[in-house]
Amino acid sequence: MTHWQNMKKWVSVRSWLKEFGRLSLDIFQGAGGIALLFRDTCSLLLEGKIRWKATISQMNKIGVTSLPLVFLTALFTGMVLALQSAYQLRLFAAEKFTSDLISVSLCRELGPVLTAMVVAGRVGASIAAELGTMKVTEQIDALKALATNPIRYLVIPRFIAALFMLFILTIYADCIGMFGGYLISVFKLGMSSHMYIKRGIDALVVKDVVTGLIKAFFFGGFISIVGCYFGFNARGGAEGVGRATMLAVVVSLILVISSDGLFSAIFYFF
Amino acid sequence: MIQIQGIHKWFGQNHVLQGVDLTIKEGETLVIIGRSGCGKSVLLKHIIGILEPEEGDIKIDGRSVRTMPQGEQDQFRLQLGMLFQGAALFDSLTVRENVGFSLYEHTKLSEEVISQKVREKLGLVGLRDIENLMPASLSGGMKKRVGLARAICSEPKIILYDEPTTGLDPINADVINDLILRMQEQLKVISIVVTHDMTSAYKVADRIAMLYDGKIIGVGTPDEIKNSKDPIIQQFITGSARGPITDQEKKETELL
Repeated sequence: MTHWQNMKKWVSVRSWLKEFGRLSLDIFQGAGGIALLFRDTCSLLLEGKIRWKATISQMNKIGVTSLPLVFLTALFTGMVLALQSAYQLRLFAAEKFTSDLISVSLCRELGPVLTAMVVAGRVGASIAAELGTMKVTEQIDALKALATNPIRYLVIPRFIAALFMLFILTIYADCIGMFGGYLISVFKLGMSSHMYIKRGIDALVVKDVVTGLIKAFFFGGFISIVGCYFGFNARGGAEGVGRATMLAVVVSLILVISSDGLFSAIFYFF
Repeated sequence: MIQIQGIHKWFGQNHVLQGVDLTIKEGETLVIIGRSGCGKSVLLKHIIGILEPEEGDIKIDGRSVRTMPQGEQDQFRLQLGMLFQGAALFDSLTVRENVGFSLYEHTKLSEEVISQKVREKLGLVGLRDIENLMPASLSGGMKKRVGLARAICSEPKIILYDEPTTGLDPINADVINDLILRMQEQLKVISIVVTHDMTSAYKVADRIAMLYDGKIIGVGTPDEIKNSKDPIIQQFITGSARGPITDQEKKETELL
């Protein structure tokens, strides 16, 4: 394409509309595909016949191996939260509220969202890459040829594992985050250990913990279904798998952040 | 008997199969030849039910797979075995788990019985003592043979081979050709082989069909195909760079 043709493409209204149309089609096709995969997964799940061995192996892959990364993320988040909030609260001589702030913000928001982001980056990408490679090397076709439903064989174990492991990882992240805050509050800000723990627990109500965990449950579902969808739809060779992996992470993160906003609004009013 | 009736398939704007009609008789080996990307593998995937046609139907022993309920479809599909182009072995499973996959998934046989059957099928394709290896540690020829052992493990009535000799050295390619013939003799199955390797086609075929432009343009015994007057078939089987196939492609490129 010549330089002039290239320029023409950028100023042409028609090419902008074409791009917009193509993008809209891609978005609706993706949304529809993800919804259909979710529907098929749920309907097969209700039929039973869950492959527990594979599910436990996925729980190990998704949950246990994510523990170190979630530990680091939550620990530093808790520490930074303690430092930054103390910095502001000091202006009002209200440093003792640091532990209230840490426990509530971690349980309601930061615990589930940061855990979901870490898992989306680590596990969502790995699911999409693994299934994408299986797709381009015809292993998914081979499953169908061997009369095995790929959703039952591949998606359901990952879906169940992600649902439960996100739930557990979030509880773990909440605890580690509060421990991070404890380290700073007790050893740097001079708060007593007893006061930090007591205030932190007293500040929490059941709703704070439950809403955070409900979110985690949904985030786990989003990450696994989106990873599986993009893996199943990978085309071409290595480039196709790379693109599927990238899309899985991006779409998972968008879904986690946007649904978090929606959940926060719902939980605020109800 | 397999009856393929007026199959049409589109991928977006690309009309890959444009009304394929073909009948494969009991116990015969049919080889489908055609250029790369002409839809041979797509046709094979329609027969095994991985893809569904937009128009037309495929009947196996007079029954259409499309109209069957899901459970029955799965049982029916086990009567077909397929060797994929790249063997498509499951990376995360051992050779034993790969070969015995259909038995692990669809039967309640004990581990010992399955292991015995896996050894037997591996023996049929000339392999032994590799049950505990992972697919990554096998050579290309071995992968194809393990893929074939997996395809025959459920004792199918029909075996489909998708470019079985592609990517193999001539000696390994001939080993696979011999295996196709041996499967035919020992198991008395219907075999459909998709290939563009004419040496392999002449060696294993009872009949050869040529797929061109989304349609079957000629069917006959290897001798009939060799002596065909059709210039398209002649260009393909002689492997000439000049002829109606390349002329047509040139015209299409100029139009674009």
